[in-house]
Amino acid sequence: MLCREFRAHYAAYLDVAVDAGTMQAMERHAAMCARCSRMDSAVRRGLMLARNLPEITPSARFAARLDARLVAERIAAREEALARKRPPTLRVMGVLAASLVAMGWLAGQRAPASESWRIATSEIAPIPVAEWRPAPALRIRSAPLRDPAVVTVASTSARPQWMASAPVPMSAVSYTPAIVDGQAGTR
Amino acid sequence: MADAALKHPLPASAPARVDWSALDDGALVTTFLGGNERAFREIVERYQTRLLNFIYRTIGDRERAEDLVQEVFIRVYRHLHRFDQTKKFSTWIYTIASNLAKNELRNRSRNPLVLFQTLTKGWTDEERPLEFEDPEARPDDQFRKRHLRELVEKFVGQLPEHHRQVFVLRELEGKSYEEIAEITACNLGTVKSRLNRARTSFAALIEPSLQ
Repeated sequence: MLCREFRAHYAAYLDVAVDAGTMQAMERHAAMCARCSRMDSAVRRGLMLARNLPEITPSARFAARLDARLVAERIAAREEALARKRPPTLRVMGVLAASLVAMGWLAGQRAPASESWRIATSEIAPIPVAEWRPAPALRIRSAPLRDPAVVTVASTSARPQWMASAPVPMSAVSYTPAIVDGQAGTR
Repeated sequence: MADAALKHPLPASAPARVDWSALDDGALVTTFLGGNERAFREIVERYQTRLLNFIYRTIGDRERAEDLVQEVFIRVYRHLHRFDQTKKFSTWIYTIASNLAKNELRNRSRNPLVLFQTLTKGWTDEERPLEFEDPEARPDDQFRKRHLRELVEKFVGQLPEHHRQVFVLRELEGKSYEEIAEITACNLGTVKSRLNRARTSFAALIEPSLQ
């Protein structure tokens, strides 16, 4: 027998699952070939050690933990069985009621905010403030934006409003007459 | 006749004094499905240590192995009614354990915080599994034995995952090739080839330590 054949049949040889003739041939080869003999001996000794590894046992709390989980399983199974036994009309009504509640809740979430949220009253902001907004960081302008309509409303009614129309640059509006070369005019 | 008696399931209202160990797995399953919860306790007692050792040798973490054994029993409890009673119960329960161990290794490889070797290397004497050593043996022999056991555990852990599982099932659990094929969902040829490779790799790893 060649080493290659020996190795091909080795797994079966180890499990004593080869026929008597092959077994004898393999034993003869192992007795003659130092390399195959060394491998055979290493495998057998290694397996013997592996099979004799000490057995580990479950810890003391294992049983208590498992019992607790099994009790929970039992309760869950019982509840599920009870739910299955309930008349279908009750279940359908339950589902409908839950759907109605959910729809009501969703409708409440989507309702538009009332006007009072958007318009500050004089009680909240008693001092008239002209509405202005600083320019975004990336778009630096030379002057803040001002809406003349808002300013007018704010100064006459003492009810400041958030800007509704398009803002215009401050430089485009002027409230004070400028005197240029002795003549009054509006810039 | 005796065999028939052993396989016969007990009614739900079985008397308290029953020799549960005399019942085979199939009878225990039928008894449990018939409503006798005590039969499940017998299944747990019968398999807890075997499954713990199998999972522990596969994943290398004792505490996690206990958690997974608990999970195996919970799944068995939940799905026992689905078990095909024409099949072998031990193969079914080992299949569940094997899948859980595989998932654990997969999750660990995605999040490789812990390596197999580091888990066993860090054991203190209190955490080590009980070992009954021969008090007559010389201290250096005892030391050598312990050292060899550690090496064996280390080298089993070094085998590739799919080789290790087959190796543990065959060499440590004594399962047949057919059972291993069913548990690992591989064909017989793959099982044989993996086992042969695992044995040879394991021998090559341990050989230098045996000189």
